[in-house]
Amino acid sequence: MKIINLYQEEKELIELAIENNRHAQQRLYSKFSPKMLSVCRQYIKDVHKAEDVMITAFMKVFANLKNFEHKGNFEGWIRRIMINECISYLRVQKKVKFIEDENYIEERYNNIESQFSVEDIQFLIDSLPDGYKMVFNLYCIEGFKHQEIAAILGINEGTSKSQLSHARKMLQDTIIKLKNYQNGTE
Amino acid sequence: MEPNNIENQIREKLHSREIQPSAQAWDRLDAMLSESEERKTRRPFGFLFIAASITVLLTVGMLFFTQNGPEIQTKEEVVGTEVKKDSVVKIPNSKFQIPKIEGNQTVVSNQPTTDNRQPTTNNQRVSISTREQSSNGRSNQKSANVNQKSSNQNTLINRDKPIEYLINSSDIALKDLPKIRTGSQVISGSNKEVISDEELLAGLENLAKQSTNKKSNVKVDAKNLLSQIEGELELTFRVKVINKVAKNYKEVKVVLANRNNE
Repeated sequence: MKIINLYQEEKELIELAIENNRHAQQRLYSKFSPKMLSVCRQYIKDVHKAEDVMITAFMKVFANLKNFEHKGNFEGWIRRIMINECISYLRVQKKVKFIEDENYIEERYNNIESQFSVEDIQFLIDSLPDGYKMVFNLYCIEGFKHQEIAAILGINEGTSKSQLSHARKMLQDTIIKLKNYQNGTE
Repeated sequence: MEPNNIENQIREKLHSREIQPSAQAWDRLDAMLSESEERKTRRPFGFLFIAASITVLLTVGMLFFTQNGPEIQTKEEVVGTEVKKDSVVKIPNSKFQIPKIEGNQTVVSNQPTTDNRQPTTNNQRVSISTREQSSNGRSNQKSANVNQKSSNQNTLINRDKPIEYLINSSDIALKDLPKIRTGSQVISGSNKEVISDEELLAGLENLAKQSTNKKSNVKVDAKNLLSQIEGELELTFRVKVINKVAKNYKEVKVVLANRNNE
């Protein structure tokens, strides 16, 4: 019953927000903004910049709210808008370019059983270059396939795969360094 | 390659993470939303303004083009007037009227000229006669001179026979009567002239209309003419280019020849 009520509430809020009801818009914003800022932070290192991008993405959310067909998950729909905004920011502002490199070796890297805090995970992701970061986030965190990533970023599927391979290699090296630093061996 | 444990851990932890945005973030978004709403509300007025401006421009344009129309017509009329001069002779009614006017004019014009000519001719005659007298005085042939004088006078009088009739006739009233009559004729002629002018103008206008109608039947393709002219221009340009190339070639040839000679 609670879920149905929540869904109904969300639907009503969306309908009110379409009619530019500021209160409904604020409620939707306060509901989703913490998660969406987290998504933006995955892609953008600077939290203030991430917030700016989130605000512009929310503008797009409210502008295109009437196009939302209540078929899928609303959070997923907002999340996708956030991701697209972050990618466009990185591509336009940071001028990220993907080098077509399809000659890569898929390395099997050691299973690391140790647990990491969210801050450590964010540190690991921040250590990646923007290109690797985008492909890694889209593949490992958002769960897109290489074909979809290639379509989103406008690159070849092979390039997406090679970017992911390089990102994984770099991430493993950083984890090892981090572990050694934490253990005091380095 | 499938995601390993560390990747699963990263996904789960990041999905569950929440970062609270700053307090100003909503204010900024609110401001942006209100701005966009204002723009949306302004749009209909803006659209109306644009539509109104377009209609105004269209009306002005239409007026402008309609004003241009009559100007072209007046030009055509001007062309028609040129035809008028020639057409005056062609009018059958005017033929009857024009000689009348000419006759009246001649009557009026001849009388003063004849009157004026009389003294002038007499003076000339006197001067001629005096010269002849002087020339004859040298030869001392007075009798002959007198004869010559009389003969000269007679000849001169004979030349202007109509004037003689006027001068010799002793009745001055008779002299005046024709003059009055001629005057009345002139007056009547002038009245006739006024009527005839109006009629002439009407006839001319009709002719002009006819001529314009005739002219309108003649079709001239402006595009064809323009294309012909353009073609000619192109040709001339080609000819110019060819000439220039030929000149340059000749100059180069001459220079090379000179250098070889040196």
